[in-house]
Amino acid sequence: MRKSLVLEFGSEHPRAMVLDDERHARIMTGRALRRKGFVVTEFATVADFLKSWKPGTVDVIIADWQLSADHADGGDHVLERVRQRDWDVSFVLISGKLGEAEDRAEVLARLLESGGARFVERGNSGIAKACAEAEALMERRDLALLKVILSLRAGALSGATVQTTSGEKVVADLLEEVVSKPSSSHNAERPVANAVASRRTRAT
Amino acid sequence: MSEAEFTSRWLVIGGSHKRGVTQTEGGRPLIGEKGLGRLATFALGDTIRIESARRNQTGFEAEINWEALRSADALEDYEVLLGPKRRQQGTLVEIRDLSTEWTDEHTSFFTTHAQFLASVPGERFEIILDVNGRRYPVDDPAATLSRLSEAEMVVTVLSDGTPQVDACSVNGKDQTGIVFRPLKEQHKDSRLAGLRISLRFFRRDEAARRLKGVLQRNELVDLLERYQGIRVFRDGINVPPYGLNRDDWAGLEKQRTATGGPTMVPGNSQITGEVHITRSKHPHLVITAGRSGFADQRAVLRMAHCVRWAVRELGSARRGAALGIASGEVPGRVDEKQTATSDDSDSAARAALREAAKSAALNRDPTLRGVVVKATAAAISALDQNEDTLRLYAQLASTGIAATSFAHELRTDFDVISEAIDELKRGARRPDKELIQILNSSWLRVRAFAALFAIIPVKIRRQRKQVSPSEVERSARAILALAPPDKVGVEVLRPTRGVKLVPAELDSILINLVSNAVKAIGASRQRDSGRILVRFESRGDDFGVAVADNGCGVSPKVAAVMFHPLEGQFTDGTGMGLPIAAFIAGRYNGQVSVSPQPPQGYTTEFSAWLRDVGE
Amino acid sequence: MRLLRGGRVRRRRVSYLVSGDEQIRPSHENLRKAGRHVRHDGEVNDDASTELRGGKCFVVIAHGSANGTLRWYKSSRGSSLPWLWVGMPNAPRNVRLYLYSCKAGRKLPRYLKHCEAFGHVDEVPMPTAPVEPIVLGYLAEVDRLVSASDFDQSAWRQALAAYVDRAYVQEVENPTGMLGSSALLLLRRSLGYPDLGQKDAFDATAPSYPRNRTPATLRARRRASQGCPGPRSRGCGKPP
Repeated sequence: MRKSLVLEFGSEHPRAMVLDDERHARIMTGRALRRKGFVVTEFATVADFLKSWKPGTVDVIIADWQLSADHADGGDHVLERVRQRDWDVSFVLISGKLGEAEDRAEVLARLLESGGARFVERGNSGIAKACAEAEALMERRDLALLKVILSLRAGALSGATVQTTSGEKVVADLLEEVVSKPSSSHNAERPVANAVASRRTRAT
Repeated sequence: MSEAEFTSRWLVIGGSHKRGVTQTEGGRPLIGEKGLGRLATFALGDTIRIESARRNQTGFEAEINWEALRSADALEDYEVLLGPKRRQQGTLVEIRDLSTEWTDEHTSFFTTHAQFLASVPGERFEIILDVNGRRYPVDDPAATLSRLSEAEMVVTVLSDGTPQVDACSVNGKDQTGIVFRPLKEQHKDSRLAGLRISLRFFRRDEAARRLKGVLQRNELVDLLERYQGIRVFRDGINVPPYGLNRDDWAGLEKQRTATGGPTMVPGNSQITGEVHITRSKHPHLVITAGRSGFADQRAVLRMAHCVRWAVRELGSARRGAALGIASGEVPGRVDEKQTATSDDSDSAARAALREAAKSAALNRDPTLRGVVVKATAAAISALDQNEDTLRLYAQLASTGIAATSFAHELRTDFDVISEAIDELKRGARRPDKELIQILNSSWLRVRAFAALFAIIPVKIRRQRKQVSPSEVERSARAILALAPPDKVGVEVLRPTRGVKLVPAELDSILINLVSNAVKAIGASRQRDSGRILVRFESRGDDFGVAVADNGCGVSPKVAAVMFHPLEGQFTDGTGMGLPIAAFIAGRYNGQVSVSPQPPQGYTTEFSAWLRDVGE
Repeated sequence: MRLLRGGRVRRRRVSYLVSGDEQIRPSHENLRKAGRHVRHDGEVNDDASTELRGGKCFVVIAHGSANGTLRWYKSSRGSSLPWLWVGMPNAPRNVRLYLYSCKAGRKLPRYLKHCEAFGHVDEVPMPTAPVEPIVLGYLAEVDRLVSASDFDQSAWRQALAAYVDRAYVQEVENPTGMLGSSALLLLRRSLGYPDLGQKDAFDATAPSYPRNRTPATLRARRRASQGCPGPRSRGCGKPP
């Protein structure tokens, strides 16, 4: 794994999800990510993925473009659905099918509409490239936001709750609120970002 | 510009979400409105001074020092010096305290950039380069490009979203009279009303010829490289190509080779063009920061459809001009009248020559007879060779089709293999069972694919010979190995009798039919539980090959065109598989057709019948 | 606040009133163990005006809602009733009220105009395990402000938010437990993000997050006279 990510994650392991109906590709992608130090969960279907995935609990998602004959289950549509609940999680789409120019423009347009993803073509060390793109995207994430997410993640993964006067606040819900919109993320990370900035200023 | 415009647009501290800037509905900051970064002028100098005035208004001057700004405790602490200034309409920008020694490279960069930004179609900018008091005029690249173009088109989108061709010419001749195909309804968008598209088509070899002596060859290449593709202008300002891999307009540049018009050298043609949008008419087309590009990608997609439509119709206009048609319908890319098969002419030629050789007139003149007989033999031999060549090409095309059809499927296997090998190279310990099993499985598929290239082009298989039932079955199984074994089950019913034919041609038919079956399964809900059945039948000396699948089936619309070249159903296919299979079957006086009754449990069956191939 | 001889600041006693809701228990016990004066559940009068009087200071921990209603749960009754609400007749007067409840702080303090009232605009964590130390730490800050300083809603909000932000950064970067940052994030949110620079986050008409806000711009300083080359801008050491 890239040194910057090792530093940023500290004792935590970054988490990845792989969504691919091609068994071999799914397994090998998972293995490649594990070798880099990721904790990986693999899914063969969109339904299984959506059941398990919780916003903010994963650092990168690598998904195949064509997951089933139903186009609504395509990797790009998965991206759209992910983006509705997590605006910034790193997302890599991988496929061997985009040969036609028209398809490619449509795909890329949809990716842009959904926001923020990388696309990798299969066939020339595609798995290694997808993993490299995953790390590249992760490196671009806001560090302060990452710290906040990591601080909330353990509670979210364990199903923990915080008592309030209104009842129990599920930490996973709180984390989802943080990552669902830029404004929420920025509100959550601002003090951390300011603290980091002022430390840097004092240092220089 | 006015002082208010400068303050509200150019002094905006954009990009920092922490400052609560204006956002789009999607929650991303608008970068079209932030301007502070533009004043940084690529860090060419420490100080920038701007003077500007609108017509008949008092102007202003402003100065920003980047060092001071950087060293301020906070951006809000830094003050820009701003004051009124009487001057004529226009803007002056001075960059002072240059950060580096100015070299020719800087001049070249500056000139190239200025040219590019000032080449706004419909506008005329004069660029003068003054170096140490000496002035150098700079060419307008847009004017040069106009001289290069062979075909031009201007399109405006009407209020209902329909694009209308306002002007179209090919080699100076007006082609607006031809019938342009309409844009598909689902691609129209009334929000694009007022959008203007202008395109120019030219060929590089022709451009080089026209500009010989005016530009050096490398200058021409630079010019063509810089201006290729489609640029977007909003209110006259070029919008940079934000987006994934800079591919906002992915595919449009590739249109240069798909215009449908005659091109002497493939890959030689080039499109340049502009799309003009305005803030007032197209308020939804704003640009967001970061990775997204335009905020409304659906509108961008519709824009791309209009542009692609215009590119295709420019091709129609060029095709029309090449065929001498200036009004009315222009035939499609494959014009049956112009591309008649040689079958009839072959037979007619042979019959005519034989008839001529038998004529009584020739028999009375032995010398003439000798000449005609020789000519007949030579002509028939040429026709036979032509026939052999066509059949060889059909076989080779089948191999190519297999490569195209299966290559993308096999890309996954190539990735898996390369990743597995990488893991084996890195790992210190013994590879685990899972890794070995995956590697074996993927490798088998790749080998099956490679085996095709060992079968078909082999010379001995290109000669007509006796083929036993087991050999026929072996061919079928080798080809069926291409289907992904974890998703498609295959079955072969061995023929009861052998046949006498060209083995490579039987392989070609099988490859094309099996490739279609695999694609049909992939496009259906059975993609994880596909089944393919290959069976053979003999009726007298006729031999039938049938391939059945449980895929997506054949609709009547597809059935009407599927034997026409390039009209294939599958987006990742070539559209040539069935036409080639039909061509080969035709060589045996047979045909390929869809069986009216596929076997139980299968949705489709294609049959190819070959006549007079009995043992 | 009156300055006594010797320069010491007089501190007022803060009483904690803790509703009997199940989700709030055992906050009252934890507060008592931490040395607070607590009245809980049935110990509190159903009539808020009767309970809240005499120029005293109270921290009220009860279920609240965005419409500005605080409900009081009594286990003897087995249900909760509105205790403080917008539009209540005979609203309390002349007391200092810190309303530590979810969401009621947006509307209720305004209605209690004859009181010095302060509240939260979102969910607030309870001083129960495992976040008890964090919330008690926050409440200690509340005690300090409520007992010893002049009432200034904006200043209080800034001070409390500053405390929360410091603790939040500390917890994010060096977590003491799994839920510390969750609790502090809730607190931060419930104070309405004063670091956004909004005039009054508790303004009922103001949205939670800035909308259509004019983007920040660099400030422009006018030149002294027209047309002359201006002096260098502040901060730049180079001569013109």
